[in-house]
Amino acid sequence: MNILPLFVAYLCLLIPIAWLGKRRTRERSTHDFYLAGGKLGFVVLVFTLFATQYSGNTFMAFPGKAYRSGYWYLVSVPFMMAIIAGYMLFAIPLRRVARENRFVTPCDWIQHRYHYLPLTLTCAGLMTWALLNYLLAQLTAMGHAYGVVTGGHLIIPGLSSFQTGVLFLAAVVVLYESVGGMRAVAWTDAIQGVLMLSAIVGLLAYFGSSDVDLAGLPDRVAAIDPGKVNPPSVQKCFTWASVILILFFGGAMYPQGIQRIYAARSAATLKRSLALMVFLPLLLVFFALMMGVLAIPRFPNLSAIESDGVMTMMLSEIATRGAFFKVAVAVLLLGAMAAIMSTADSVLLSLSSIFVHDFYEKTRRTKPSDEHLLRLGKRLSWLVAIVVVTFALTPRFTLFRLLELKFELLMQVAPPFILGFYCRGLRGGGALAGVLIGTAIALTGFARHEKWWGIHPGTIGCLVNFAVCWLSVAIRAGDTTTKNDSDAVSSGGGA
Amino acid sequence: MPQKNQAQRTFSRGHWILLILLLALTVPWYWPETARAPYVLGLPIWGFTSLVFSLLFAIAMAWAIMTTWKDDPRE
Repeated sequence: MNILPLFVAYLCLLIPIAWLGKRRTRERSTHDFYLAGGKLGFVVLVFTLFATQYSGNTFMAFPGKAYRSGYWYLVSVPFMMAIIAGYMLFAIPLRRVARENRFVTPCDWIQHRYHYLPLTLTCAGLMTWALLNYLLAQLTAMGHAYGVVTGGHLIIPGLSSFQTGVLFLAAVVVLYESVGGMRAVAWTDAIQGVLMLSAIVGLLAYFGSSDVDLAGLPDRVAAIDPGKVNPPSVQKCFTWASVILILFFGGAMYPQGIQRIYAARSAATLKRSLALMVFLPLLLVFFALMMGVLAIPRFPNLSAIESDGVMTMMLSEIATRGAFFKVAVAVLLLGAMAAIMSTADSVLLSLSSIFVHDFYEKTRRTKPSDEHLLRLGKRLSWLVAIVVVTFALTPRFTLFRLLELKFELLMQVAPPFILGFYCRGLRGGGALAGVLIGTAIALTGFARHEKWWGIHPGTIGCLVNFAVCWLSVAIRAGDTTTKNDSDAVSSGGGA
Repeated sequence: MPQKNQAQRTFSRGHWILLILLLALTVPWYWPETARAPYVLGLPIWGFTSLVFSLLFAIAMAWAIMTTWKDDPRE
């Protein structure tokens, strides 16, 4: 479907947004550039949180996964809600301490709490890895969506539609992100949110049409593969619970999500936004899931890589069902494209802040000026984009495989991050030991392509990580007691 | 080090027990492996039940956020 004029109009809109973002700058500081000065209001905050969680992955990878797994993928509804529950483990005290100390990155909290640079840099490294993966997934999704959106036009000579999409859109994203900072990013998030929500509400009417015959859908799917309709086995239930835990701990550690907790104008704004966000999976993720399940009888026997494109196949078919659906599909495609771009810009902004603020500033003996850090951050955005684009041009995994790898590593940051608020005795060394052991378990399992009793290795790694943290506190408490006892004995002997 | 004035850290224990219980019920572990029918909204019964518990989880979560999180008067 060709929505080229709409898409070109959207790209043109990004120029004034970037310019306006730059004009609204209140001070030349990293806090202002990366967090919009902590002044995001309710509407923009809701949409920017929405864009952080619902991206190209939601609208390209989720239907593909539902196509491959069947109804089992209903797990995606509670696991997206679990992210908000994960935030509630730390959002209230984190926001308070972040305002008092003008935090910019999540690792500002780790450094503030533990004063232990090896731990801070390890956590920053894991977050960077997750973000690079996420960015790679967005750029790959951009490439796939570009051909659909432009209808095969606007292709650089000598390159495929996919390659053109990745290169061209990555350049656009870096350009407006590096000019307008968080404000430009959040405003584009708001636009894509409005487009997506209105289109999905419109397209829900399709589920009620006679073409779909929703009541008979499970039987049609069962005729192809009964395993996609039956309740999951005990082992798959373990996997379901494991996925929820991954998102509960890993999803809540999204650096760009945590930065939006910092960027909210007030606690009241943030809590209202999160209370609303928790309902969105019932609409958005359910929609993506049903599109994937509807595609099972419509397009049987697709390969794993082909099934990543079932959303576009379904939308192409829906668009032929009348003018209303044609408009809704056009808006959704534009919104999906905008969603992929806005997630990519959020990730890029977050990556830039981590490189500059954690890896560069925290390892310098003298504090560099904010002016210098800002200049460096903008250059790094371009460098990161160039590196990730080269990887995106050679896709090897399905999109969801990338998503899994990201979260299983990211959740290893959760124990030191969360326990920092609750466990006064935890020190940097013990926390670092937990993170390293948890990461090693996650990587070993990933390399061997296996789950243990249906549970992801990253989940087991995270639980071991928590256990090591607690163990280190217990050992330290024991040492302190022994030392106090021996001190008492020696001071008694001296007397 | 943790701040000394962190009186309010997160939900109460009761909130968490309710939320974890609802989240556990979204996992369809309590259905026999052949239980598909009846179908509701194009979903097998176990899927529909999971979705209902997801909705209840969302309601409980929103209620817990709005009642627990006190506004900061300094903002």
